[in-house]
This record gives sequence, structure tokens and C-alpha cells, in this order.
Amino acid sequence: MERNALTIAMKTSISEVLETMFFLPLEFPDSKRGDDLWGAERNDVVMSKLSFSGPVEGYFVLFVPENVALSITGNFLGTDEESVSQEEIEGTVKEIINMIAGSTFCNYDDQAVFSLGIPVVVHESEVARKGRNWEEGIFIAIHSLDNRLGLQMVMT
Amino acid sequence: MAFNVLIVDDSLPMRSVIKKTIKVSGFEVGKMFDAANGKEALRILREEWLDLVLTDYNMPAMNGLELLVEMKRDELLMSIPVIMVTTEGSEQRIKEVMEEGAAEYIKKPFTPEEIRSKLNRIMGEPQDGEKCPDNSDEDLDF
Repeated sequence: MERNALTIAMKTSISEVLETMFFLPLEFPDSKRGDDLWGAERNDVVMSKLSFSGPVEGYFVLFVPENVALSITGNFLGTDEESVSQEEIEGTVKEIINMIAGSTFCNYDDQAVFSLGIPVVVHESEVARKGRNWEEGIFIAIHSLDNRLGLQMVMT
Repeated sequence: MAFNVLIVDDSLPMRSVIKKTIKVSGFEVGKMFDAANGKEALRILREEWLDLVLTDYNMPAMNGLELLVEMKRDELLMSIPVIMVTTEGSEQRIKEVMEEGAAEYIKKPFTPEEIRSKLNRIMGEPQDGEKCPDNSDEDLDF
């Protein structure tokens, strides 16, 4: 897969999903590492992973700070943040990565057929996150107002 | 006339958002049911009177395509229109779903207007008394 075209497809998809369904204004800074966004010590990031197969195989990981996940879930459901459950937060983050992944492949090549796995929330220890290889695959930093999100795509 | 709707999606928030979208779409909606996968959906379909099914494609246990195929094999369920609401957007996937008998295909992310327009096409325009106000989008949360 062609890296630049794929990066453009990922950014387009992120915009489509987060702007269309969550009304988040977005910017894509040049950060290449999650550590640049949240710092290596941060441990309050909700991560969702989605595997895919097709012409190539791999996975996406979406990183959403907990306070952002809570806020966008409340907005998405139209409820107060106080009444948002953990299940709803995780469901929303999983749905976001599901839509971004599907949209990425469609924007990249709508003739190719990719099968998406079932998104899961992953719990990565701080040690593991410090060891995360941010250079692997494509990492896209996402700024929305004061919020910092990230999306990594890795081909296996 | 009010119609009963079944929403099938493994994402609880997405089921909630689709429900709200339908509620403000201007149609007179009767009962709304929801299921987290195709198997649950089939159980509800065999117990309740449904007029429309909106289903995700990618779900555990039984996906949306398998649900569609099962419904088209069942003479009591085959006439219920099915709208596939999914992230799977390749041309081949859309063709496959339509060939299996889906009435419509909505790609996520969607806008409330897309849902409304597909419902119009399948269920007919809402009656005058059912029409939603022009600012109905303001009632939506996405």
C-alpha cells in the first residue's frame, strides 16, 4: 500500500467520522509519536484496537484520553457526562475506530475488499506503552481544540 | 400508520443514535427493538411484528449479511425491508449485500438526512401530520 495515499485516506476518514458524527474541529499536527501528545507517563488513555485482513493484514489502534472519551460519548448520546457508563464510553471509542477503519479503506481504494475484525478496548500497561514503537506503520496525531488523540495503523 | 423497527448493531451507542435519528425523522414509529447481533435479531423477528430492520454488517455471533440471508430464506420474514448500516464501503461489499436482498445501504459515518432519505424511499414520505419541523436536526445529538 502506498504510504502517502494511505496517510491521506486516514486523515480524510478521521475528519469524516469525527467532524460528521461528533462535530469535533480537527487539526493534524506533525507529531510522530504518542509520547509527544500525552507524555510517556500518562496512563489515562482509552485505546481501541481493530484488526483487518484483505490485500494486506494489520491493525489500527485509536488513542483517546479518558476525559475526551467521556465528553464525546456524552455528546454522541445526548446525555450528561455524569450519566455516561464505562460500557458506553468503550462502545463509542470502538465505534469510532470501526468507522475510521472502514472509511480509510473505502477512501484508499473502494474496489479492494477488506474484512474488519471486531473492535476491542485494550489495556496497555505504562511499561508497555513506554515501549510502544511509534515509528511502526503510520501514526497520525489529532488535535481537537485542547484535546489530543492519535491513530496508528500497523501492517503485519 | 406507525411502523415497528428493529435496530441491530453490536455497538450500544450506535443503536441509541440510530433510534434517536429515526424518532425525529418525521415518521410515526411504533415499537423499537434492538439487538446486538444477528442471532438476537432473528429471535426478536420471530417473536414480534416488525416492519423494518436496520442492521450493521460487522458483528460477532452472526453478522448483518448472515442475518439478511436467513431472513430471505424465511417466508415469514423475507418481505421485511432491511437497511444495511455499515462501515464496509467497498463496491463489491455493497453489491454483495444488495444482491442478497437488502433494500438500502447506508455507509457510516452517516448524517441524519441520509437516514431520513433512505426511510422515505422505503417506507414512503411521512404523512403531513407526521412531518418533522424544519429544525428537527437540532434535536439530534450528532
